[in-house]
Amino acid sequence: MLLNDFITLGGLLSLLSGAVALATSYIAFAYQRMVRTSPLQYISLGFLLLGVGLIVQGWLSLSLGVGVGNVYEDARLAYIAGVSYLVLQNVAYLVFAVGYTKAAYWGAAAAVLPIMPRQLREYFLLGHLVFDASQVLSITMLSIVIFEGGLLESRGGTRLSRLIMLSFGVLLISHITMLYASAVRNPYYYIYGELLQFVSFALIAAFLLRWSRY
Amino acid sequence: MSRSSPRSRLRIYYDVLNSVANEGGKARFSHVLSSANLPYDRFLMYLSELEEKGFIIEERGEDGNYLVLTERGAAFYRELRRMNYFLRGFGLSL
Repeated sequence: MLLNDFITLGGLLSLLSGAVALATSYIAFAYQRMVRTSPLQYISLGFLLLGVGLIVQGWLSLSLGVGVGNVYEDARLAYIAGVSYLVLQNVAYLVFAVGYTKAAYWGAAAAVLPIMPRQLREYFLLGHLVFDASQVLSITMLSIVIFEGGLLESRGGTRLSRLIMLSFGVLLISHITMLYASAVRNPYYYIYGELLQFVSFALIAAFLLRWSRY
Repeated sequence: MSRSSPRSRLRIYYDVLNSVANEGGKARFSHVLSSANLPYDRFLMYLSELEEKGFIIEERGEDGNYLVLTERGAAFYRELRRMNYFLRGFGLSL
């Protein structure tokens, strides 16, 4: 498989992941209007940001992989899109972290730029420092989310909540893999990271599927 | 010693409807009262709200009073169950 095919595949997986994130956000928003639970507002907003970010990421990857438009040449647009995704992703994780912290302590109960760490990242003019800092931030936020989620689990978790925690765990591993890819400058680790990211959203999709049949 | 947070109104509705639904849609008043785990006056308040919304009706039988889940109440109960299922996935509850 050529590198471009991997990028295209990564783009498609990101679009699918984005759709799952947006569906989760919509359901959480609909329920939040009835329940008025503030952690649910954070979950809704977090998945909305993540969904929009993943769609931006998917669009960028597809543009690169399929060669739609002159992404290579329109560096400014690519830069804005790339940074937008990284910002959205980290804000989303921050929102999750705040929501879970509230739930745990106050009683309410990436990727992008699937870009080859070095070469492609340069097309987006992000620079490895922006990319690596973003990954470190994502890893930190997700670690907080998983820790707070673990606290909630200890108060009486279910198989369902463990499934969601597992998906956040896989998402964390995907960011660690992407950071590693950047460190060793091996594009294929980045692709593994993207696949792991998709697995994490596939777990959320499995949860939504079970919910829809409930 | 840990103290659990008070149940939301929606959670109390769910507990009452769940208690009736578990008995096949018709349950003794006393059974629902004990399942709801509420003081009598508060139970009556929530029960009248559920009756006003058309989710439950009270029937008087020879051997006591019964609470019956209406079609509308059954649909509302199913939606609450689905909502609770979703919330539990994120470590939350109604």
